[in-house]
Amino acid sequence: MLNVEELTISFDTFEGKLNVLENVSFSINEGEILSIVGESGSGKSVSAYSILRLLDKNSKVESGKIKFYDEDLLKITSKEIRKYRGKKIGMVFQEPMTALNPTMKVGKQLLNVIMQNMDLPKKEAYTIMLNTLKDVHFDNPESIAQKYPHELSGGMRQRIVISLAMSSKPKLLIADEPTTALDVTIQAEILNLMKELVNKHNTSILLITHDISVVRSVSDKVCVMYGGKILERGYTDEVLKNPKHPYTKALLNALPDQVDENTRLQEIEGEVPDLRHRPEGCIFYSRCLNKKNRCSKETPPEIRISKDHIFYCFEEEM
Amino acid sequence: MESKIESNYSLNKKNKKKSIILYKIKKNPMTILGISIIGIIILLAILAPYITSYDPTKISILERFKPPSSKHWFGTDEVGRDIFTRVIFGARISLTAGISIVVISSAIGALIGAICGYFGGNTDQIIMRIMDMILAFPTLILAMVLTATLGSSLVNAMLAIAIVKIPVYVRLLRGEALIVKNNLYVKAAKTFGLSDSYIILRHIIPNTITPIIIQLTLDLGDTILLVATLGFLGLGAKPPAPEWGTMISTGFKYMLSQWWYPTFPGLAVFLASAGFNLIGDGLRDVLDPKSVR
Amino acid sequence: MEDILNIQGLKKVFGKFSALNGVSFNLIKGETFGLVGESGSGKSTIANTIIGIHSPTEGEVLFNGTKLWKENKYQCGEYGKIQIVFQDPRSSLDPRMTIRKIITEPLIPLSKENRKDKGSQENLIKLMKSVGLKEEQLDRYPHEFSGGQRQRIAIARAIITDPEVLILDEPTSALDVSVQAQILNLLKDIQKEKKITYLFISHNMAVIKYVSNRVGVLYKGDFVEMGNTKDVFNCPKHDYTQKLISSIIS
Repeated sequence: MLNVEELTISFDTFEGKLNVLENVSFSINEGEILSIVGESGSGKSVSAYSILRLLDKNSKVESGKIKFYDEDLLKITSKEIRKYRGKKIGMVFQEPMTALNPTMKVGKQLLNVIMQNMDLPKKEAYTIMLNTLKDVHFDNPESIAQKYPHELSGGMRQRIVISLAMSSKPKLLIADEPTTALDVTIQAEILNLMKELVNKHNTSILLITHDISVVRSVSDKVCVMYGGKILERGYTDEVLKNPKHPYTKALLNALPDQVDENTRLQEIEGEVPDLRHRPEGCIFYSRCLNKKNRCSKETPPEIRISKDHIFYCFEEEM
Repeated sequence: MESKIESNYSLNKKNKKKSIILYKIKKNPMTILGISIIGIIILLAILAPYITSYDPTKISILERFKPPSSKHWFGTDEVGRDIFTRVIFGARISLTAGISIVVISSAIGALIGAICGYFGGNTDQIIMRIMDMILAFPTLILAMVLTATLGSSLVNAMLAIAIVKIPVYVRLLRGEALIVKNNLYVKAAKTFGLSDSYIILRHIIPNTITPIIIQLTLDLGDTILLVATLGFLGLGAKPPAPEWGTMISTGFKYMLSQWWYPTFPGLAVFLASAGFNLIGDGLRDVLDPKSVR
Repeated sequence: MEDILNIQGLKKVFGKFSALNGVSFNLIKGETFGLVGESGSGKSTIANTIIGIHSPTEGEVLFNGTKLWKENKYQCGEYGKIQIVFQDPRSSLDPRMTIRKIITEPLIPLSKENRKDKGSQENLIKLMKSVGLKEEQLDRYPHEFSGGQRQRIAIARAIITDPEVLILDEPTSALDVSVQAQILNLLKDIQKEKKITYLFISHNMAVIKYVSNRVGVLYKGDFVEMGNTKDVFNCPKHDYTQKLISSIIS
């Protein structure tokens, strides 16, 4: 359904051009949840925003394709892309408060979106609005519709935002760190809700996160990004149980939840690379524990472990 | 490995900052114009006694009402004084007056504003209401009233203008202080046992310097204009002081026949205040973090 | 096993809102006590009361047996014995001060000899080294450092006074995972070396499980569970604790 092929995007900054994404490829099938996991500067958010062309004016697509059901979204006009936004592709952002108009009751906001996107008269749209609210686990949709955003908790607001995004039954939902600003217990609720929506409406989700436990709990597939490149991708179970790339391994070992309290956590020395001066060779070279000489000079090849599990490294067996 | 990465990181940031500032200044021709004008005025003011051989206050009836010539570049006034000399000596008065006023009002205003923003509560409310009252009056009218009350002299005019300008800085600093005090480093300083006065002087005010400087420069233009206006109205410096406003006032009577008399001092006032305004605008573009591109 | 900190019946009300409803717990010398809670739990209020920012509405805070709050005034005795590291490395350091000035700021209220001794170049070099930074970085400014490095600076600032208690308020929540590991390891090393008692506040159960000896779970101003980390995580008794724990594993 969604096929991103060799996407390379650059940003024009004061110091010149820098590539925020390089040769990024991934795909999502219908009814699947794909997580892109990465730290700051990994390019995960850029990947998501580029699909709906929500990037700043100083960004440029250098090469690549974004195929949505055989249509290359990069080649259509900005008028046409607007037809996708909110209708076939929905988006949920990190901060629910900024996505909602604080001066308008939530029911009305939802109603407006439904009326506009689905071109329906008010009466029909109202029924749909109530059903959408029920879909996101609001037992009393009539009373919720009368509330203003500030009268609701963070978790409730995010459910409203999800309902806004889901109102036109999109095929793809892009969620950028949807639970980061929420409490941990609410996080679980929201993630379960998303799983449910996928099953019910056959919607796919592209989930951007820095939190591996989020990946573990809902995603079918995962992409591990670092410095604008995908280092490893595959089915979540496989990648997390059997990580192949040194970065993935190091990331998993750096998490305190699998480790005994008397063991030191595995540190990843150094800091995230400066993308203005992309190193030759592997982007992870400077921090890799298994680095060899050729890693700093040549681009690492793709190694295929199984049909969907690939990683980019010079080491075949680690 | 780490030192290489991070030394590149910090070098890049330092160079970036310097080159952004230069790049912005070069980009803005008006700022350069402003800097040039003020630069010239300041130079003339400093070198005044060495540039002319005339005494700004010496009367010479024979030379009265001479039009501009190679001997008297700006002509002479009704008692024969060289106007060019008087104008550049007047620059000294205007510049010192302007700078002193702005420095005093900003220092006092900043301190009051910081205290209001930091402490809040009743003190804040009372002081802000007083500031509102002052701000409700048109600047010029209030300055006139104050000067008249205190008695017309340059010093009193300066005092009056300073008082009138204070609320601007109070408001500015209060707003900035409200933002800055929410930073964790202020909270941290409290946990170390440091006093409120330390926090205000060492943390709040230094982090609000940028808007003060911008406001200062803009105010300089306005202040010089105000000083001249009060002088023109007879409320500031008194003759025979070579103050621009006073000169325009006296010269105004002779506007039709001796056009040079009020024109040159008037031009000086215009250039000085416009020049500072241009610099102020340019500074705002340079220092405002939001306009980095 | 003596108590270094004792919170008794701590109640804090802000206007109409009750942040803490009368909580009690103790901190044993040398341990790491994990304080878990989500937003609105009151965990930051507890920290703020111990460190002197908010005065208790009711209840006592005892440090080595002495009351920290007397008649709504914070009397910590000697300064610098209780210190705190905040969550956000961006706003916890004054951007206009050099690292040297930032780190030595807590020394200002101390006695002259203490200031000279702890603020000496020799001691500063040792301190920078112990948090993984270099001597040359003392004269740089915060914006020249990354988030992880700034957190190290904040930690150096907190331990320069040789505190007995260090409150860590979500010290790694704003950091990348790979940097989080560095900081957690660093904190463990420092605790071993300097024998500091940690009050570790977090909403991240995995981190709390890893760092704490004992754990207290806070919900809307009350403790719902408290005990040894192993016991609480293996056999959680309260529903809320179970809910929190299930958020790590899925």
